[in-house]
Amino acid sequence: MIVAANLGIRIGGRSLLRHAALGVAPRQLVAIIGPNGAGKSTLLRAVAGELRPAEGSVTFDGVPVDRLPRGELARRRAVLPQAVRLAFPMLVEEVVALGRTPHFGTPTMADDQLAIEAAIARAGVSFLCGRMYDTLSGGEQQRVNLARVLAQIWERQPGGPRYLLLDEPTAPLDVAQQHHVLRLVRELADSGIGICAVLHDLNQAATWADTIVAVRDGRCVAAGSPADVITEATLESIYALPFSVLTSPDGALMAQIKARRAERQALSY
Amino acid sequence: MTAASLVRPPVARQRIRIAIVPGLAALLAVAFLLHVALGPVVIPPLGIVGALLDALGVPVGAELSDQHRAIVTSIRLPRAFLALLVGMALGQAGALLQGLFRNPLAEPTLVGVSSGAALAAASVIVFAGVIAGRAAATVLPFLLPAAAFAGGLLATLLIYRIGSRHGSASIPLMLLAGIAVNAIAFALIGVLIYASDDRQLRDITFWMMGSLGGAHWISVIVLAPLALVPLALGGRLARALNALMLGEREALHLGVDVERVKRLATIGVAVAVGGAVAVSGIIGFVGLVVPHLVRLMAGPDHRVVLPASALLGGALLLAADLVARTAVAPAELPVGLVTSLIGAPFFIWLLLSRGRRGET
Repeated sequence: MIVAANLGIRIGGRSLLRHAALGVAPRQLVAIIGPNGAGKSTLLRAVAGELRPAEGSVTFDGVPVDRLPRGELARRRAVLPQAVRLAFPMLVEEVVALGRTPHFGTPTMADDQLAIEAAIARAGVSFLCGRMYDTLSGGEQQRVNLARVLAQIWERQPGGPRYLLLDEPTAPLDVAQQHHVLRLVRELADSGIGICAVLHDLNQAATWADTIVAVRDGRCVAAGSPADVITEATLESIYALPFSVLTSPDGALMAQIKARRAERQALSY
Repeated sequence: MTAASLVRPPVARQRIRIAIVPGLAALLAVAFLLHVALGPVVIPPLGIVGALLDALGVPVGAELSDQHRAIVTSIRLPRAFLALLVGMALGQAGALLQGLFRNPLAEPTLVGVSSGAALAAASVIVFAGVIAGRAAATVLPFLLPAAAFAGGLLATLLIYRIGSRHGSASIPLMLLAGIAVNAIAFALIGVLIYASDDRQLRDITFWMMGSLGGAHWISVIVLAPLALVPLALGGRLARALNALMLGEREALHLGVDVERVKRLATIGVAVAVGGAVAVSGIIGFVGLVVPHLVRLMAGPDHRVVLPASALLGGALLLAADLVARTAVAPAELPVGLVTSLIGAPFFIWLLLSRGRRGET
C-alpha cells in the first residue's frame, strides 16, 4: 500500500501542499479531484517520489520512498503523464519497450520481450505496431503510453504490489476515448494494481473510482467513497460554485454546475 | 502471424540496425585507406594494408618502398588517425548532445566548447610573446592546444553552472546560457583580433577555420584517450538517453538518474570536443549532420546512434580532409571550410526534404 501522511511540499519557498494524506491499496482506484492549481498534480508527483517532502512522508509498502533505490521504485510504480511528445520519431513498439528501462541489468530483464508483448495485448494496441508514434491520434498515443507503463511494472509471477499513477490521463481525449482508457484503468485495478489518478471530470471520478480525494488550496479537504465526496455541499466548498448532484436511474452519480438562468441570459445578449 | 513478430520493428529497419555498425566500419576503413593512399605521391593501398599488418606483428611481406614507408608513417598515418579521432569525437558529441537536449539541432558549439577553446587559442596567439618572450616559437605548439582544451572545458562548465538551479540543470537555460557565453567569447576574440598584428591575425583566422595540417603522432596519442571518452560513456548512457526521448520527467519515472546523465554527457562532450578543437581548430557541421544521417538510416535508438555516429563522423572527416589536402594541391584548404561548404547545403537540403514530408 502507498501511504502519504501529513505531507507538505514547498518549492522555491512557496507552500504547495500542507498536511495532505492519501492511501492507495492494491485493487483500489483512487481519484484526486479539485480545481486547477489546487495541488492535485503536486500531490501525485510527491506520491510518485518525484518531489522531496518538506514534512511528512510517503511510504511504499512500509518503506519510505526516498529509501527505495531509483530502479526498485521504477519497477514498483509507473507514472502515466497527460501526453508524451517524443524528441525523435519512434515506432509504437519501441516506445513500449522503453518501459523496460528500469529492468536493465536485473534478473527481470529476461522477461522484457514477454512483458512488452503482454502489455501491448493488455492495452489493446497490437494493431498499432509498426506505425510511427507521431502519426497516431492523441487517444492512440495515450493507449501506447499506457502499454509502456504496463510493461514497466509487468511481472511474470505476481510478486510485490504494483502501482500506477495517472496524471489527468484523459485530458487530451474525446469522450469515447476517455471512456475506453478509464475502463481499461478500472480493469487494471481489478486485476490487482493499485491506481491513483488525477481526474478533472467529476462524473468519471464518481463512476470509476473506489475512493475520491478532494484537494483545494494545497489541502485535502474531503476523502471517501464517491457517495461521500460527490455531494452538493462538498463540491460547492471546493469549486465555490453551486452544484446539483443527481442519481441516475441506474444508480450513477451525476454532478453538474447550476448555470443560473440569469447568467445565461446575460451571456446571450 | 505470431504475437512475437507483431512487436518487432519492420524487417527493413531491423536489418539496417544490425548492418549499420559493421557497414559504417567498412566505410571508415575504405575512407582511411584512401586518405593514406592519395596525395601528391600515390601509394598502393595493398602495400599500406601490408605495412599496417606488419606493424601489428602480422608479417605478410609488406611491399612498400622505403620512400613510401617514410611518407606513410611520418606524414599520412598521423594525419589520417587525427582526422579519424577528431571526426569520431565530433560525431559522438553531436549524438550525445542531441539526445540530451532532446533537440535534433543541438551540436557541440552550443555548449561553448568551441568558442571557449577559440578564445583561449586567440589569447595564446596574441600574448605568446608576452608570456614566453623569445621562447614563444618553441612553446606555442604545446601551449596552444593545452590552453584551447582548458578554455573549452571552462566555457562548458560555466554554461552548466549558469543553467543549474537547485541542483538541477535546466536544458532550456543551458541553451540560452550557451548563446550568451558564445557571444561574449566571440566579442573578446574580436577585441584580440583588433589588437593583433598581421601574423597573429593570420594565425587566429586559420585556427578558427580548422585544419588537420599540424598532425603529429604526439597529437594523435594525446587526443586518442580524450576522443574515446564519449564512446566509453556511451555504453552506459545509451539507455538513459533513450528514456529521455520521452521527456525528462518520464525518464525520471523510469528510474533514470537524469542529473547524472546530464553531468556525464556534458563532461564527455567537453572533454572529447575540447581535445578535438585543441588539435584541429573549429570544424563545423560534422557534429550536427552525422547523428541526423544515422537516425535517418537506423532510427533513434542511442545504442546504435552513438557508435554509428562515431564511425560515420570519422569516415566523413577523413573524406573531407582528403578533399582539403588534394583539391588545390600543392596548397591546402582548411578542412573546416570543406565540412561547412559541403555540410551546410546538405543540411539545408535535409531540412527542406523533411519539411516536405510534413515532419519537423
